[in-house]
Amino acid sequence: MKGMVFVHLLEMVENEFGELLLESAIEHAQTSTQGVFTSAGTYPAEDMLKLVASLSELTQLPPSALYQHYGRYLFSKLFASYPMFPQEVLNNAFSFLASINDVIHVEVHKLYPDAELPKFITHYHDENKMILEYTSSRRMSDLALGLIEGCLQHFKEDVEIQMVPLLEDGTSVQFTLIRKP
Amino acid sequence: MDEVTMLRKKLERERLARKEAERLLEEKALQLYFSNEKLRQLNADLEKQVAYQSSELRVQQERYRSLIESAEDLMFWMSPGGIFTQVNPVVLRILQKEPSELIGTHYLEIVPEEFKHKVNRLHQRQFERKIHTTYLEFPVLSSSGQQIWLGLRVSLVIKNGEIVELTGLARNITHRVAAEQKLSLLNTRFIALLENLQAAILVEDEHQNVVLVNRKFSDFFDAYLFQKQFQSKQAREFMETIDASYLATPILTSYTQSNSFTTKVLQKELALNDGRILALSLIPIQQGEKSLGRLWFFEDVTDRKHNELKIRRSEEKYRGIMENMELGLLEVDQNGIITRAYDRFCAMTGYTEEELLNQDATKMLLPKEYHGLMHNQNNNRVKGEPGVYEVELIQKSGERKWMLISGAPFYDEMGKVVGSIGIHYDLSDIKRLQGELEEARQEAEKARDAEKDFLANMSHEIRNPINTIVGMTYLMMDTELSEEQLRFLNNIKHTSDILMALVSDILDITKITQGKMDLALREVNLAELINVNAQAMAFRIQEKGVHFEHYIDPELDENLYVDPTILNQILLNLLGNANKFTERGNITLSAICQEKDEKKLRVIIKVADTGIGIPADKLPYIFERFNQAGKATKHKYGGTGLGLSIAKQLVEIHGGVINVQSKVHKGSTFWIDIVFERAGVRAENELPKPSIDLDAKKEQLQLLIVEDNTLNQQYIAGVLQRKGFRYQIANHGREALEILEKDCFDLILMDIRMPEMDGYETTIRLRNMLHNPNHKIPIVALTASALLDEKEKALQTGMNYHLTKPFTPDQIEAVIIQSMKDRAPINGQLEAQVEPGIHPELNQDEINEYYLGDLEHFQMMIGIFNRQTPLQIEEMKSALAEKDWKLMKALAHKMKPSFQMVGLGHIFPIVQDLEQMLESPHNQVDIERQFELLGDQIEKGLHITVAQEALLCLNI
Repeated sequence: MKGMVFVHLLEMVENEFGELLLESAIEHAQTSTQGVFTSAGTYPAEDMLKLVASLSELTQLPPSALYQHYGRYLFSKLFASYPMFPQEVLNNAFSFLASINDVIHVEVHKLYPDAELPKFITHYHDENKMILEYTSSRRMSDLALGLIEGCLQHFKEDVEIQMVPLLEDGTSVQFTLIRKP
Repeated sequence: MDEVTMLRKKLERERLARKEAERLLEEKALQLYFSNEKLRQLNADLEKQVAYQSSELRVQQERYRSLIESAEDLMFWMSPGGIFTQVNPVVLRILQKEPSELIGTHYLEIVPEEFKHKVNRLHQRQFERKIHTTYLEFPVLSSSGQQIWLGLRVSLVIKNGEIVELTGLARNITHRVAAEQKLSLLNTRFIALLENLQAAILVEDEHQNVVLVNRKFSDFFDAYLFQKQFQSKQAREFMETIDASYLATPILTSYTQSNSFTTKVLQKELALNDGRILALSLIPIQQGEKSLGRLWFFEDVTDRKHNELKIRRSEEKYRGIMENMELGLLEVDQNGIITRAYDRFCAMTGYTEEELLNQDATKMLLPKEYHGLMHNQNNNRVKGEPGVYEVELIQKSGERKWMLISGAPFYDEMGKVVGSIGIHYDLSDIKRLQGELEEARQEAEKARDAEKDFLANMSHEIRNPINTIVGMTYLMMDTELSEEQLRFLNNIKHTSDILMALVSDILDITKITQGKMDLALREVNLAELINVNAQAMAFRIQEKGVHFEHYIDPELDENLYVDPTILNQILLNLLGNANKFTERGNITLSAICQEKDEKKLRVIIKVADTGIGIPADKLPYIFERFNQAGKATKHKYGGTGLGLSIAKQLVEIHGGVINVQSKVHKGSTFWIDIVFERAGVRAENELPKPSIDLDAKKEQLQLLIVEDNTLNQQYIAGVLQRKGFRYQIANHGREALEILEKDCFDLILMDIRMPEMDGYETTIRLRNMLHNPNHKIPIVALTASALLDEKEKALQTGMNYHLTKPFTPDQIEAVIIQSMKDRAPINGQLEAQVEPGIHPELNQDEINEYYLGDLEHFQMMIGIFNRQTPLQIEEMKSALAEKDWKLMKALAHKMKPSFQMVGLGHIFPIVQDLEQMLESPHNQVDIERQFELLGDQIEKGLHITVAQEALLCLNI
């Protein structure tokens, strides 16, 4: 997992929960590098699970809510960091989401050849409805949900999101997006 | 945690994060550096690539330039006024000009006068209307004045609306133009051909548009139908019209619709309503795979069809005839390969025509043994010769069938042999019939052979009882008899003699027909042989008061190769016959030399009589067996009717012919015509020296009689007893061998046919019993058969002598004496047959002179002498008593020559004296004394001649 995801998480925790909680979370989580992350680096995914578990304990918030919240935060940061998206994907949220797997992730790979990215396949896409399937061994579908919400927020679109797990272990989840009238 | 600690921790993390980031940065920077290096390398390669590509491009430009310069096309550039400014080398080469000759001149100068106007006008117009490119074909003149056709493309070069230059690109099309002109000529010819063709033609293109129709087409199908221009019409329109107007069943239209006839030739005969028959060939026109249309070709075949029909009907007729004739026809080519098999032939062999076609007829149908024959026949066919032959054919079923084949070559229209036709006739039935006939023939022959055997056997069987009768008669004659008894006995003997003669005839004919009579040629003086026969017959003939004369050509007085036995018998038969059927008049015998050369001599011997003659209708059959001149003749004269048949066959055995001329009541003449080979030298006297030394010690001899027939036993025993011999009797061979084991003997008289063990086997066994003192004993075979082979077989098995039943007591005695004489030299089982001697009291020289060693003849003559002389003496006695001197003299004269013939020449002067005395019979006492002397001498002589006859009998 890219260091950038950790750096933004620690940044959000420091801003929203204070330095003290952050220190406690880092100390408590016992990550492989004892909380030292640099955005260009790559770290084990377990470190993320440990951090979120530690935060959940300290804040008494469920990990899913933490992931979802962090997803919304992360989208705005990522979108701001990489302004070179092609024009046609920026028409609306649907077209942006539809391009993640085949366009955006391809570009990400160019930048970080070692990045392990989830699959984000578009099964259906029209003006008002879209069906996406998230597949990842990391089981971070809540983070994905947060990112989708962040995206809709960015394009200021009013869309209802239904989330249905396809496999019980959480490695595959279907998102159905229906534009509200 | 206080704030300071927390900050320190945070700072520490930041520092570590920065270090990590710096390390990553360093790493990335290095990566970047290598990437750059790679990129630079790539760039350098790219430059090389560009340099290479540029040089390639230059080469290519070079190529284009040389292409332009060496191009076959003419290129030139002209000023707007038409003046040459530049030309390529091709122009110079083709026009055979130097650059200086062209550059600066007007292009029209090289155009021939008659084309200048046309060329100029086109380019004027191009100029005025600023047409970018024009094309024109016209000729130009080369330096040598040769016309060169160009296809010229002139383009304007326009700048700012002004024409600044003309470029010309031309191709030398001289060859094409020439070809086109040729094509045009061809086309003209083709059109002429089409128009004059006796067939109607319509050509359509691939879109079924009619492109050509010839004049005959409108002749065939009414002209008015096709008056209109055919161009732009569809073939379909034409065919619809023809269908509607000419055909009862329209068909042509359907051909126009189908695409299937665009690759195959369709041929169809059309019967038109007006009676004509057209042959249509619908021929696709193709270029490679591509169809260019079709040719409709109509031909009027009405006449041809009618002729074909006639020919076919004729062929049908003949085929029908042939098929009904039970003849199988097969045609083959020159290599014997079947080209046609007709139905009947197929039926004969069981094959279908398909199975036979293209097969090698010989290999397929003929058994191996006929291949050679067929090969020869085929060679004859190639030479054009027909032939007829019989072979077996193998049918499909494998069975064989006999065929008569008549093979004849057939020819092509040039008269060359192209194959042959075989007409087969089934011979199975005929062959079967032949087989049955052959079987029947063999059956008949067997039956005939059986009949012959029966005849021969019966003769033997008859001989045995006669033998007994004759033997018993002889025995009885030696006893005391009254006159009457003696006369009875003489009658019995006479009748037995006749019976014997009949049986002998039958045996003779059997011998001849069984081919057992061989020609045994010896050197013989023909004149003498005939003379002896004449003399012998003279007695008998003259006895009856018939006059007998004979004439022998002096030319015949020489040695020839003759079988004397056969010739004697022939003469005896002919003379005997003449004698038999002639009661008064004359019988003449004449022998004439007809031809003579160094090697051969041809004789005709004729016997003529004045007897009863033979009716003309019987004459042709007179030489056939059992065929006398009518039943009446047989009844009156008796005999077997075999005499002439035997004579004829004997003449033929000697290579001659016999003939007869006769008239009823006038007489008959028989003559034989034989060619003899000349021997040249007179035969030497071959008679053995007389040396009979009659042994007085008969009683010391011990004889064995082996005989199953008790009558014969009694007869032989009676003879031996009277002659003073000792003997024993065995009833058959086995008993004989038993006796021979116990006792010593001097001679065996052995019958041949006996029960238990026959004479042959007994002899062979005895000859092989080497320990037995009797094993070399002389054996006399007693055969009932006069057949040569029985006698020979007897000698082969080891017997030494041979007596044919019936035999006389004297014959028995003679053979015993002979064996005693030969006793010393008998030392082997293959001892030769005895040569009978001449009695010492007979005149050897006289006999030799007469018979030249022909003992058979001698025997015959002595037999006649022995029988006639006593009768003649009796006649003379009665003549003397009646003092009939004349008759007595005649008898003496007649008797006179016979004494020298039998070796009693010393009696001749006594007879001669008597004859002289009777000339002038003054002294009756002298005559009586002389006659008494004669009687004594004859009586003594007869004693000797009878013994001599018996001796001779041994060998006959």
